[in-house]
Amino acid sequence: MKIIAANIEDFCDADAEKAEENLPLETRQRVRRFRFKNDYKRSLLGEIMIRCLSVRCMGDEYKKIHIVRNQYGKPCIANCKDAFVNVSHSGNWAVCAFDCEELGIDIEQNILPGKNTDSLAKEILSGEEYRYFLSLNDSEKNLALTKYWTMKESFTKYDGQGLQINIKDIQIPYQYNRGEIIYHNKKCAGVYSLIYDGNYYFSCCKRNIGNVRIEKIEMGDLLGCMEE
Amino acid sequence: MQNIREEICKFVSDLKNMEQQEVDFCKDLNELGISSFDFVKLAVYLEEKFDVEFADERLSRNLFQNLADLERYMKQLAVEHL
Repeated sequence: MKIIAANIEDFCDADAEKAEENLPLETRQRVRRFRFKNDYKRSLLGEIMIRCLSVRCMGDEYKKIHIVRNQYGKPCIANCKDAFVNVSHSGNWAVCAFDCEELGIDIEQNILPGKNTDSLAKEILSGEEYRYFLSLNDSEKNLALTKYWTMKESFTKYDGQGLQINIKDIQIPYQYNRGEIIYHNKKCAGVYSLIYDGNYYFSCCKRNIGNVRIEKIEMGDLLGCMEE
Repeated sequence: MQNIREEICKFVSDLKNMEQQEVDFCKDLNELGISSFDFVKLAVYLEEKFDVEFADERLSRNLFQNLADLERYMKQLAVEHL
């Protein structure tokens, strides 16, 4: 599995404009609909990363990579049954993963309203998870909830239906950073969670999860791959 | 009921660092940059403000096209709560 991360602060307007020209029209129209520039940049960066990571891992030409989306918006590489991609963005970071097995990833910046963290947890966590969450102190709670969310969201993205499934039904290894996801009493996949850049939680979900390492990619390398 | 719109505006303007008057209720939630997690945070914020409860299956951003949809659902919850 290969995971890359890029920082939107390194993505200047001129580079964004130039990079956008190398994307298919439908993708360009989609990213242009964002109301705010940073959302546009995060999304654009995600689209570039999916293609460039696919080029890197498959050794194919940029122009030959076609990304399509399922009905729930999950990206996949057209006409390729054994290559899978997933993307996520939050705050300053866009993250993209590539593997020969189905996978889902999620990154979230740890910004939570201190006041209603317990209420938020109640909406997201199953009974056992929530009871454990309540035993944590306030500073632990904020971090834990961001981690739990990314674990659950990475599973919904692995599953491919997004949040069509009830997030409370996804049981996570809440006391650990790595373990198995249980959904409807069945072990479904593995999940690995880590802190990234000090204030972000990142989780990756796939059937057999090994060690996870995120490579920060420089903007020049990323944009250069579109021109190869 | 006016308060529902105001509270949605307040939350979203804080989240996106924008003026409350700029919050567009017709814009697609995704295009407004509201993530799935942001949506759940917003729902919980509204639940606490108005003492109502979202059905678990409604806690998904994908079920609401825009903030106007969310406002309509909140109004429905508020009426049921009376």
